[in-house]
Amino acid sequence: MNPKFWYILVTITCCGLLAGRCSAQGKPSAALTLDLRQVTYGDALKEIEKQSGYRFFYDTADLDTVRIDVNVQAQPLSAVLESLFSGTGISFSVDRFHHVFIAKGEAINTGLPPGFFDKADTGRLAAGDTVHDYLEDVGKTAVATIENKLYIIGEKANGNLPGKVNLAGYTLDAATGEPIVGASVYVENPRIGVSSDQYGYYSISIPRGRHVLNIQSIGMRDTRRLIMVYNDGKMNIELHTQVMTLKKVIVSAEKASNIKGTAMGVQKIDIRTIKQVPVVFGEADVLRVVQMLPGVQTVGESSTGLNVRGGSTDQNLVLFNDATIYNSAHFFGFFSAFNPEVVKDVELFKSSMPARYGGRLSSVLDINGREGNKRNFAGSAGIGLLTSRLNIEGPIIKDKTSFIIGGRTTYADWLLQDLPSQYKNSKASFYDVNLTISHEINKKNNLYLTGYLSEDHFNLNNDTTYAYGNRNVNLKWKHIFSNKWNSVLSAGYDRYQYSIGSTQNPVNAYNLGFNINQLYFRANFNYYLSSSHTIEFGLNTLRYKLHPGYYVPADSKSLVVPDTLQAEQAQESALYLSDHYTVTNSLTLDGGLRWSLFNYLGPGVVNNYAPGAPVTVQTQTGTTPYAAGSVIKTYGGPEYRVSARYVVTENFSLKAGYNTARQYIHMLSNTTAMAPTDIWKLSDPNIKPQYGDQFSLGAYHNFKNNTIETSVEVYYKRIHDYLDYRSGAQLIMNHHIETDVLETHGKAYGVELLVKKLTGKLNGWVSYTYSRILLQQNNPNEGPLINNGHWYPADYDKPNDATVVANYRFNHRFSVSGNATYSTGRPITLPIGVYYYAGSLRTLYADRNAYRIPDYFRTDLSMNIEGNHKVHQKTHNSWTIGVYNLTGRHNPYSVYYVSQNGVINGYKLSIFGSAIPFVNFNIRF
Amino acid sequence: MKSGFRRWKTYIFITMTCILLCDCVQQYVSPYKSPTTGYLVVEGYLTGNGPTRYSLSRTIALPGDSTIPVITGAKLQVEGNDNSVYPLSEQGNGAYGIASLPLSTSVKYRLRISIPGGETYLSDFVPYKPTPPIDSVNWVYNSNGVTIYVNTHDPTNSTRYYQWTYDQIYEYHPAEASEFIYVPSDTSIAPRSSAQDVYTCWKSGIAANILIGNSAKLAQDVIYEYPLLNIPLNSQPLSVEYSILVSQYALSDSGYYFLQMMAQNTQSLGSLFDAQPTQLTGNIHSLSNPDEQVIGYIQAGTLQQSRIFISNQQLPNWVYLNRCGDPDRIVPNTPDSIYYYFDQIGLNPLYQNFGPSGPLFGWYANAPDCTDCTIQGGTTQKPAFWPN
Repeated sequence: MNPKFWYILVTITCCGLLAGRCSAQGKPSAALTLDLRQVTYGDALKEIEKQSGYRFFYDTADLDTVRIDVNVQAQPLSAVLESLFSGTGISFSVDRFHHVFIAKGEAINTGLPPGFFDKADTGRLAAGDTVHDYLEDVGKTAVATIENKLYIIGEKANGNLPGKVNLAGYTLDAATGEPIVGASVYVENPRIGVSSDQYGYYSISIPRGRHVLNIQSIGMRDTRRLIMVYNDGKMNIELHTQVMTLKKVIVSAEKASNIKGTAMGVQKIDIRTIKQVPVVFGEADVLRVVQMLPGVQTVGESSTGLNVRGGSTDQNLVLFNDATIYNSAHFFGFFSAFNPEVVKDVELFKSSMPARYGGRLSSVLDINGREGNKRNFAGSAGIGLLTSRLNIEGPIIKDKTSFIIGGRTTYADWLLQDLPSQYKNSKASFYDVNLTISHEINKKNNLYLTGYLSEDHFNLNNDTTYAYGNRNVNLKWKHIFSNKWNSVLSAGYDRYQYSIGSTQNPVNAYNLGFNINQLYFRANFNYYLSSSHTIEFGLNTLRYKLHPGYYVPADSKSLVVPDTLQAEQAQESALYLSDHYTVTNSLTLDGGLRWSLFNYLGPGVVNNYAPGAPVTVQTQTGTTPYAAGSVIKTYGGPEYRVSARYVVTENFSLKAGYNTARQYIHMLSNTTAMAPTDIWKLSDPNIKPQYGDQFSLGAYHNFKNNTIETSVEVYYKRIHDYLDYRSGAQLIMNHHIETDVLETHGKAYGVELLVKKLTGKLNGWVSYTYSRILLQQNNPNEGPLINNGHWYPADYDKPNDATVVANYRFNHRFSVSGNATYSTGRPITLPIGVYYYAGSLRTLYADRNAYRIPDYFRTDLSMNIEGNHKVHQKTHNSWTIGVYNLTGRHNPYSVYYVSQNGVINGYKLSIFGSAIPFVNFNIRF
Repeated sequence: MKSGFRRWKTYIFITMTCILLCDCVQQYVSPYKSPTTGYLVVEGYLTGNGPTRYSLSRTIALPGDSTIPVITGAKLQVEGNDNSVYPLSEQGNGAYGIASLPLSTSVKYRLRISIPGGETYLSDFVPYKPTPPIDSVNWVYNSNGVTIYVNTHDPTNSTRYYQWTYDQIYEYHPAEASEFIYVPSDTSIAPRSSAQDVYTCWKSGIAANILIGNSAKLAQDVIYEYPLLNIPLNSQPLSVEYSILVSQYALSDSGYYFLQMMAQNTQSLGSLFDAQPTQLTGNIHSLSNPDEQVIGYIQAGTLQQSRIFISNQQLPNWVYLNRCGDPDRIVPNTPDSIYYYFDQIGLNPLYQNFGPSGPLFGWYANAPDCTDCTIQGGTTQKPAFWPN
């Protein structure tokens, strides 16, 4: 530990002991005349003691450092004191020995005399007539940094008025000036709390008077501010990262956001936790950690696709700095598309989706990137076996404008050297780049520019080349109208594309591609109406332009006939309004309504089919052309987002929620895992939007001073018009895709148990989920029945799922993380028989997903070793060393039968069939 | 495009296997009891300019280690929508056929199958498609061995979907020639007659993969260098002389997709991005139970064939290593030795061994697997079309 810090601590403690009780002596006198300017209460009292001869007993901490002017002429002591303390909540009593006891109405604060820290500062404050308001005077929003100092907000003159006032500001990281998102800001009595938004902004309405404002955020040291609120005001709060915490300073406050928040099924993980969890190849992976949360499943280790509460992988809205990411996988799904160096935290909404989000049925995964350091240039780099990453950040204009740029690339080609000779010329690589520039125009206006670019390439033996990538850019403008009212306007562009090409056979040489483009505008308004109502409303609109496929000759020798599926365009818009309503201290309601509207637009030619009959090539009755800009089909309707929370006791709450959602874009894939070549399809006259609703109930109980959170959540979910496929569906370059898909419906239900401990040496979580997702196609008018119209499990139906994620911090430089996960094997279609055809024995398939692959079990272990913690050194290093799949278990990814040389062989494919050691070196500068 | 994707999947799979240096693919034995199915399986191609042959069998339970039951005694007939009827005759082992049929491209045909015991199956009517001739069967010799390709085109641009099958046959020799033969009747050694020769054999085989291709996305109906098979470098089939007879069939688009689905279900699984195996739907239906699953797709068209030969002499440095497991042994010319080594152990005499002074000392001998080509599954019967 830093000796300097100890020194300060000891000094402070001693000074506190000596200075804590002050007294003065003198002869009592009846009337006092004082003319003091810019003195502290302490000085004023000393003067009074001198004049009056009374002896004062008080705790210096009760008397804030605010300078006051005292001007009295021949007043009695009691009148002087009354005027001195009026509105401050300080009372005094005088005994017969001319002792005056001055005390706070509330519990005595044992903090340090603030003057010890800030004597110089306080002296410099400009003059004011009455009690001085720092915040206005310094010319900008003051930063409240010290816990025991009393902060005065507003004019003391209003101190006696009843009613509520509003306090707003930013929560910031003290070290970098970056905003802290989702920090919980609350007062105890009455219980009022808010969270800071994605820009770190908070706005809280509290009764006038003295409060203890508590601020908590994951990964940051809990803190509090003593405030005296007279009027609406602003206060920025700086938080320190937890690493800086000294062992002896244990700030024990509530960790009860799970109890108090109304949101259900929300999981938030910060990058620190993500980095602790061992993953294969050692590079912190956002999506892998999300997959370990209760209610989230995946079909296998090489898939970054998430199945949230029985939803398919395309039913998640994956937002990275507000940009929609259509393909979140790199390198065959072994890496996720998010560079851990630029990610701040991840929030997953499984159940109560805020009304501002829409367009997907199952969940919203909101990945927040970091903002650059506004004060200093800094950076970090990491080196792993397969990938390396670098990020640099710093101010462009100090404290105003900052940038952060991060990049990641792979050099896995060396691995391909070991391949058999026919793959010698193969290549596989990816990279991604992130950029965020944030600029504070002034106190009320902030601008954010973010960009993301990712690209994956494979080249098979100089034959077929594959490429896919995301491109995203957006601009956000946050404007604060007043303490109570702020807005965020954002506009951006997202694109996902893939292309495949082969020139091996000159006659068949082709390029095949797909892309999706969207241009969007979002306006979001927050209005803090009162302490019991927070209103959020806004508008989203999104213009889609899809090129569902083109197949063109690669060169002039090719005989390929250019074929292009007609472009699809649509406008998806939504208006929403929600109210966070605190009915009583115990009961809070969140009601949201989102009205979404989808217009499928021309130009386009729509295939018509005979009504009431299955949609097949045979039932096609003709086509209808539509002109550019004409509305071909409109879908829409309300989406409800309702939840309620009832706090039973301090540590126990109940919540219930109901939400509905509509989805107008569908992924077409007949592979179990999300493949890079999956395409997306808009709803059109022949393909209805998906619609789903979910009921959920939860109970939340915290133990041991809120350091242990437990929860039980149950849900029941219905999905309508979910797309499944006919046997033998052709998904690529299909001019009548509607004839190959089936609209099915599904039901999902489950119970999720979670025990979580996020503080202390041992932290982590244990979760268990029982869940089912079943689908059914029993409508003969729709097409062929699947499994005779019976319910059948979806590919990712894994009823039992248990996960333990634990980290033990031996000291600040060494910690060990481990996790263990178990789940039921996923359903699979196994052959039911064998026949002989075309020179070989072959397998016979019948019902879908009637069997299961063997169960999954894996344990991982890693050690995180940090270099020394000297603050002032050029670089900080850390190592991560670990083993993935410690037990070396052959966890099945799939089971399959294949005809080889005329006979059938059954195989079990494991992605990792042994323990995989990894090492990663990280450096910060 | 499709095959490219499949190759990619294989590649990924191999990559991962190699990266992790482990046996990530293990044998799997299903713990589930497979139901008895016994569905009808019909395979064949209806043609006018060659023999039409259909074989009938039934599906069996997984893992498929029992014999496939064939259906005998069934009645099969080809019916035209011009009311023509051509019965097929039973050829044994579940096969039914006819040497030639007077089929017409202006008529559609279907197949009626009556199983002994009562059930009758009827296919949909299918057109009789003319198959364009094979332009060429060619091959490329490179470090991966020899890859054989087929080329064809249809100037009328109307065929588009193709299937190929092949019969390959090759000549080969054992490692050593046995010039003599053991005569058990008098425990003696005699020179082999040409009829007793076991030095030259011919081995044949058929394609075990579904070979289909299409030109649906091309401006002209051209199939250019469709790879039929690869013969691994320095392997036995090309050690002497090799021949392949390629048969080409025109398919309907739905018949093509049936075979593509079958191939996808049974030949290309095992990657990270497998398509789900799906139920096959053919064009043969039970008359009494239309939902009954029947494996097979009736298609009709002319048959086109092409044969090529590849001689070892055309392949510089193609060396097939043909070694015996044991070195040659000299068996002394004594009745005991002859009986023991040639009768009891079963060695084959190679050639004579003369002692230093001149008289016959004995015979060089070695085991049949390196002296007798028939042990390796071939036949000494020279095909009629074989050159020289």
